[in-house]
Amino acid sequence: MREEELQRRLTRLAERTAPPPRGSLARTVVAQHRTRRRQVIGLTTVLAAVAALVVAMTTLVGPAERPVSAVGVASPAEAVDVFTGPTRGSLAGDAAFVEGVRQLPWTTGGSSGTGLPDAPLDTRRVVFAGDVAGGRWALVVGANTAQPEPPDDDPARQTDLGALSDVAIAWFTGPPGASPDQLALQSVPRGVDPSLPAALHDPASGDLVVVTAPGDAVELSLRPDIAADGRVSRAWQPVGSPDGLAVLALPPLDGTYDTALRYRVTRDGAELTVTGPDGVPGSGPAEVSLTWLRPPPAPAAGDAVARSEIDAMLGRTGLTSAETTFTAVWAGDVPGPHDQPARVILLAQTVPSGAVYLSGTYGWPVTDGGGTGGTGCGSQVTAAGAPLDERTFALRCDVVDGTAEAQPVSSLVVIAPPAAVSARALDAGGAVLAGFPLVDGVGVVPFPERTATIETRAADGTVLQSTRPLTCADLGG
Amino acid sequence: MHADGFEDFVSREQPALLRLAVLLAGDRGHAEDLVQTALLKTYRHWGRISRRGEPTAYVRRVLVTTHTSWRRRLSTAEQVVGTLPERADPSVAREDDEELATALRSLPLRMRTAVVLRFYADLSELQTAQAMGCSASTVNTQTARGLARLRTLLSAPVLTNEERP
Repeated sequence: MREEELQRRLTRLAERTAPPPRGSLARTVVAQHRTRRRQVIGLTTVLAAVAALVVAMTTLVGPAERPVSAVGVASPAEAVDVFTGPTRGSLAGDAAFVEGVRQLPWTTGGSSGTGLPDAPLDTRRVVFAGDVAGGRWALVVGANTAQPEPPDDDPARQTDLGALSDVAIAWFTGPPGASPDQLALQSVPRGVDPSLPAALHDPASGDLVVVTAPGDAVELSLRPDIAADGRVSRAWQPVGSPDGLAVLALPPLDGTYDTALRYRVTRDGAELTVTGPDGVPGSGPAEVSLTWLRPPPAPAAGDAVARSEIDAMLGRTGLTSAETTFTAVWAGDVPGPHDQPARVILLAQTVPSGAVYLSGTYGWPVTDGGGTGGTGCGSQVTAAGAPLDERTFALRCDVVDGTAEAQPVSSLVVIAPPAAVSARALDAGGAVLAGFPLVDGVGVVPFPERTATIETRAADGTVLQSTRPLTCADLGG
Repeated sequence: MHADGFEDFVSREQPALLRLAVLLAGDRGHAEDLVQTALLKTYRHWGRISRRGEPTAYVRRVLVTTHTSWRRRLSTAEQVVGTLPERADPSVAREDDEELATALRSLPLRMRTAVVLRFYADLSELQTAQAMGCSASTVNTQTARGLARLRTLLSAPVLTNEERP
C-alpha cells in the first residue's frame, strides 16, 4: 500500500466513523465557559461569604438547607455542575464532621508547593461525606489554585486537561468511624471538568463512590467478559444513584489497581461518559503461582517486570488471582541499547471461560541503581482450545533506553512447540523476508521489517503453524 | 464577551475537527468530548486567537495536546478502545476500516498522532511539529516508526514513495 493509499484509507475511516456535527456545539461551549466563569466567582466570592456562616447555618437548619453555589442559579441551557448542592452522603447531617473535613489540608508533607491545587479554605465545600463498607470517605471541591500562569495559560501549551479548570477536587479516606483528622488525602488534588462525574474506588475493600448530578443515571461494568471464543464484551448494570450519589460495595480484588471497572453516566437520555474511577492503591501485587512452560532463565534485573505485569493483567481483566491462572510461556533475553540485553517474558492469563489473555513485556535496567524500565511487546486475547505448549506465538519487542531520542532495538521473538526447528518471516504477500533456526522451538532475531506472518516448520520442512505477531488486545468490549 | 465569529468558526470547522479527533481518539464518544474540550479551551482566548488570524491551526494544536493529556491519564493502551459506529454505506470495505482502526489504536500515542497529522491532515513536518509541540526531527522519527509498525499490522503494507517498486 502506498502513502496515497494510506491517505485514502485514513480519509475514508475518518469520514465513515466521525460523529455528526452538532448545530448547538458553539452555544454549548459558550455556555460552559460562562458557567465556569460564574463558578469561580461563586467559589471565590459567594462561598467566601457563606463559609463564615455555614457552620452556624447548618447547625441551625441542617445540611439540607445549605445554600447552593452560584452555579445553581445558572440558566437551564448552561452546563450542569455535579458538585453543587448540599453535602451528600451518610455523614452529611453531621455538621461538625463536615466542617472538619472542609478544613483538612490539601497538601501532605511532600506535596506542598509542588504546583498541585491547594484550594483556599474559604473556597472549599464538602460534596460528599459518608461511611463506605471499608471506612469513611469524603470529597471536597474548591478553587483550582494550580491554574498555569502566563505564558503557560495558553491552552495550546497545556498537556493536562484539568489544569485550566477553575475547579479542583480532593478525595479523603479513613478507617471506619474515623474522625475528620483521621482522614488522609487520597491521591493528589486535581482540576476537573465540573460537568462530569467524579468517582473513587478501592480494589482492596471493593468500595466505590460515584458523585454525579441529581437525575443522572449510573451504570456499572465490573470487568470485560471474555468468552471462550475470545470475544470481549461488557455487561452493564444500573445502580441506584439518588441525588446523584452511588455508594457501592463491590467484590474486593487483590491487585494494586482495578483498571477493568467502568462506570457509565447518562444525562437527559444521552450518554455522558464511560470511564473508570480514580483508584485507591489496593493491597499490592498479588502473590500468584506461575506455571513455567520452559525452565526459567537465570535471574536478571529485568525480571522485575513480570510481577508488575501480572498485577496489571489482574487489574485489566478485573479478576482475582483465585479466579485465574498464570503461565509463563517463555522468558529470555533480547538485544537492547548499549549492548545491554532486555529480559522478555510472555505471560498467559487463563480466564474462567478458558480463553487466554496474552501479554508480552520486557524489562531493561535503566540505571546503575537497579531501576528497571520496560513496556509491552504486544498482547492478544485468544480462544480456549489447544494447550499453550502446543501453540505458536510471535512478539515484536522494541527495546529503548528511556531517553527522549531513544532508538529502539527491535527483535522478533518466536515461541513454538519444540517440534518446530525453523521459522520464516513473511510479508503480507507471502514473500519470505527472513529464515532462521529455532532452538527448543524458540528464536530471537532482528525484526524483519514488513513482517506480517511467521511460519514455523518441522525438520522435514512441513509447515506446522502460521501466526501473526501480537498487537494490542482490545479489552474494552 | 469576545464571541465574534466563534459560532461561524465552529460551524465551518466542526466536521473536520471531528474527523481528525476520531482518528486520534479511536472512537466516536471520545472524539466528541475531545472536540468540545478543545473548543472550550480555545474560546477562553478567542479574542486573541481570532485577531491573530490562525484559529484553525490553533484549535488543531489544542486538540492534539488535549488528546495527549487524556491518554497520559489512562494507564494502559487497552483503556481507550472503541468499535466503529455503523454508517449505512455498503460500498465501503468495512473490514479494511476495522483493520486500519485496530492498527492505529495499537500505535503508541506520538506515532499515531504523527501518522494521522502527516497522512490524514496532510500537514508538513514543520506544521506537525508545531501541532505536537516537538521538533521536526521527532516528527520524522515518529512518522517513520509509525509507518514501520503499520507495515506489520496491515495486510497491505504501507510503502513510502521511495520504496515503490
